[in-house]
Amino acid sequence: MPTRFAIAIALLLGLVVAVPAATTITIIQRRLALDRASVSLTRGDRLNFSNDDDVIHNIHIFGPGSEESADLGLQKPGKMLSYKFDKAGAYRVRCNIHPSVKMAVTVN
Amino acid sequence: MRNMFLDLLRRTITPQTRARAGTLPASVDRRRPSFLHRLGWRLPSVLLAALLAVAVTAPALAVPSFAIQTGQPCAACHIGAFGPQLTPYGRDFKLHGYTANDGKDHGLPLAFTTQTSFTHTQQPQPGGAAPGFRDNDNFAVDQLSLYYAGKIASDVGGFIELNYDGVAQKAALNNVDIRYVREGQLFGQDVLWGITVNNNPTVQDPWNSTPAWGFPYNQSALAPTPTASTLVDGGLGQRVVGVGLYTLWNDFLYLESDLYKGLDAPTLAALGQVPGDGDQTISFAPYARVAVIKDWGDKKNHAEIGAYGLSADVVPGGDQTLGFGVRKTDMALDASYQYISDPSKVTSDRLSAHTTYIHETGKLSLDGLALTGALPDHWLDTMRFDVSYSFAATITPSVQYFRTVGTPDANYWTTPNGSPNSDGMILEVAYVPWGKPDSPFPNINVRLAVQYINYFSFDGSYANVSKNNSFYFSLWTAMKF
Repeated sequence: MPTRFAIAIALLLGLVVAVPAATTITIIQRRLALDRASVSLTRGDRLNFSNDDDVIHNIHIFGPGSEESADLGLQKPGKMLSYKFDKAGAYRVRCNIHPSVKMAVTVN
Repeated sequence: MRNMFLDLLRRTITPQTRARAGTLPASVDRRRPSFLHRLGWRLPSVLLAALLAVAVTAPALAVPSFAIQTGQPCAACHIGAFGPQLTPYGRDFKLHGYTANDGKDHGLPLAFTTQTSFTHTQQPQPGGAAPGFRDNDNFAVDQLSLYYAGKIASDVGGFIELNYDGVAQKAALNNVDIRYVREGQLFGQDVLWGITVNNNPTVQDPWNSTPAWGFPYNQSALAPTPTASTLVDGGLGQRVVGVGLYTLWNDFLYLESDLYKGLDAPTLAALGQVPGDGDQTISFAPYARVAVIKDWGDKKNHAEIGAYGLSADVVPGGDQTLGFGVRKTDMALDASYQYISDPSKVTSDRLSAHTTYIHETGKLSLDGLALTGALPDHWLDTMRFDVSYSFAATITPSVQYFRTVGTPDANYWTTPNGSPNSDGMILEVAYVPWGKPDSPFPNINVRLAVQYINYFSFDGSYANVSKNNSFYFSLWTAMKF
């Protein structure tokens, strides 16, 4: 029994090592800008978007195809939004309301 | 509330209408006050009722339809929480063709503003400050303006203003700026490019250092103003139509080129303009603009330095050259600086400064030389510098020094001694209670301001120049339908 348990634990640990955990990165919207101009992700990773300004924002993610986009909707001050990037490719992130609030995302 | 407003308006108007039927013809009493003027002290109560009526029925901010379209308070786009002085985001919104939005359907982007005022000049103006107004201490409805301002299609937006001028007592098409905008990449950097169709050189400019949207943002039409001004300094406003191409590369380099065509007299009259009141042209007038911009210090500092120019064959207004043409060419430099104490808060304190220097050359036509006796060549330079500090987007004191100097010529300028020279200072304090994220009245915005103009010289004279100094108290309201 102890031997079987030890093998099971070893297998689980092996899986944990073999399948990397998804990463979540927080992007801060402050001063009517994003705090990063670009970021590289792996499929399944997430971006969280904070709103540290005192006005509403509206994050819109374009890509990876030319016709694909996701509008995360209006975001009040203090609210956090999240988006999971499941497809590889190049994305553009921008605020619908503030055209200069933008960044590039590359997903491998 | 609407009924209360209508009752008050009816009671205010009715006695005046009856009295008007019994008055002498205008030719007998040339200074008979206008209808709006005769409203006198009742005007503030009418306006207050109007404001309250609108405040409880329609959302509003300034230019209110822009604010509603974006879900942003006035202070996001405007220094001092009221137009037209733009913040960096306000410039961005304009450069992107007025199309940024919150994705909701807010209906037609229609807005309404009113400007009312009281003007006191240091000495009365014999004959009346304007037809229908007294020598001094005049109340006036300066402007009633209706706007279509906002997104038209996905890449097309516009700003179209119709005015009723309560001093001149006429309606007219005012500023127009319709844009088509696209974005892309050039040399590995972001590039924004667009097409503008507008009717006033510099109305399309996003910086408040150029004439159309420069300080002062409103001014009395019942106080004396200097005679001479350059062509690009409003000389062709609403008298031309033009199309231009502009581009902003890498948020650093701004380039623009426009070509204007003067409107003929019948068209001007149809649009509400008085053809002979200002410079007239039916020729083409090229306009060019270049600017470099730089932000630094976590977006706390914003600077711009640039140049612009305009050239056109015009017939000066007011019979200045007996109807003979003048080739005017304006070359100008400008600069802007803004310091934002906390860019993450639209209500943070903001310092802003603007300056421009315009050099104009004027070449009189050969026929005009012989018959007017004027010099063949004239120059006219205008310089302005203003600085303001907005406390919490609520109280904004401003000061400006202005100076115009040029070639003295008694056969060219219509000033008493033939000199176009004037200089002076403008002091202003504006108070805007709302237009911020936490404003208790999100449906309305108002701007109360007191402005004092002090001349050091006026139309070439230094003697008794203070008689032209004036106080101007104004109430500016904005609301969306």
